[in-house]
Amino acid sequence: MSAEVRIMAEGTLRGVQGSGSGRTWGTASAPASGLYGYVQNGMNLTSAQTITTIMERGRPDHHKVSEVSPIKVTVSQLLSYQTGVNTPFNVLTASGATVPMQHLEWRVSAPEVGAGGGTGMYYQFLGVATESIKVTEDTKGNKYDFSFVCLAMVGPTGSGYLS
Amino acid sequence: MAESFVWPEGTLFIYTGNATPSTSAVVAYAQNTRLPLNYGWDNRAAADGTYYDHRTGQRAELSCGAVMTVDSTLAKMFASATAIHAKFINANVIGSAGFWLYSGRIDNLQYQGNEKNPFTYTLNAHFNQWSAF
Repeated sequence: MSAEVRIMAEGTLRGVQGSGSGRTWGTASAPASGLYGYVQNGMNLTSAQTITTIMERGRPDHHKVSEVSPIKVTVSQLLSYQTGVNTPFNVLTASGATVPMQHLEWRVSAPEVGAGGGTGMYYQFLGVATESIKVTEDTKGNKYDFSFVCLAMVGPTGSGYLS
Repeated sequence: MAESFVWPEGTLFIYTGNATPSTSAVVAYAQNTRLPLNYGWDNRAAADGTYYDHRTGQRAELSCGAVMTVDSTLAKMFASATAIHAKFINANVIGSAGFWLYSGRIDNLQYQGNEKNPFTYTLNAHFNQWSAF
């Protein structure tokens, strides 16, 4: 039977300093990590691939994956010291890469699932590089928006690295 | 009929030494490849009107555009003007195909750089022997 539908309040978003390059969860020595604070509605991602349909004399015959696109992630949150004013541009990387890199993990609480640890479903975003930050003053809380691009994602899985 | 092949399924190896297929790739992050295989034919009629084809030569021209890697192996191969072999592979979980190219030379190695883009190089080489697999 299907699990319940999740809502935003049941999720968490964490980040950890990455190391090296590639589509694996490699972390720096004693990496900086933490919970992204005050994440607002609208965190979204797009994972896409390019499909080329091979035609056989005018009829679709089979599909081929001709490109796997980098995954775009955008996060809206409220600015606080906990959200890490130093991140994301100042995230450090160890040897093997020139672009500051981190990994993100989105955990969705799902206590009724009962499998794989039984308390949540996890999505990992691997090799995340920052595209932009945007700060906006607001009477309901100053906004701090991130836009990331990552090399790959894994999920949903039954266990997480960060939570 | 098997599926066709697409770009992410292919690989290109360039190596020196004997012609045993190598597994050490030196062309990484490849962007474009082109491999025309050419025969030259002398096509003429004999006195009785029968036509004959005599092969006058054969030549393969390999070109590859690739994102610059941290590896300088290709540049060193070019500098030494050594003979190279190439293995040009199309492969997926269903089938495989490609060419071995033997004892060729790098004709041209072109470095390119411009704003907002990674450095790239373009490789051109020629071969006179090949086999398909």
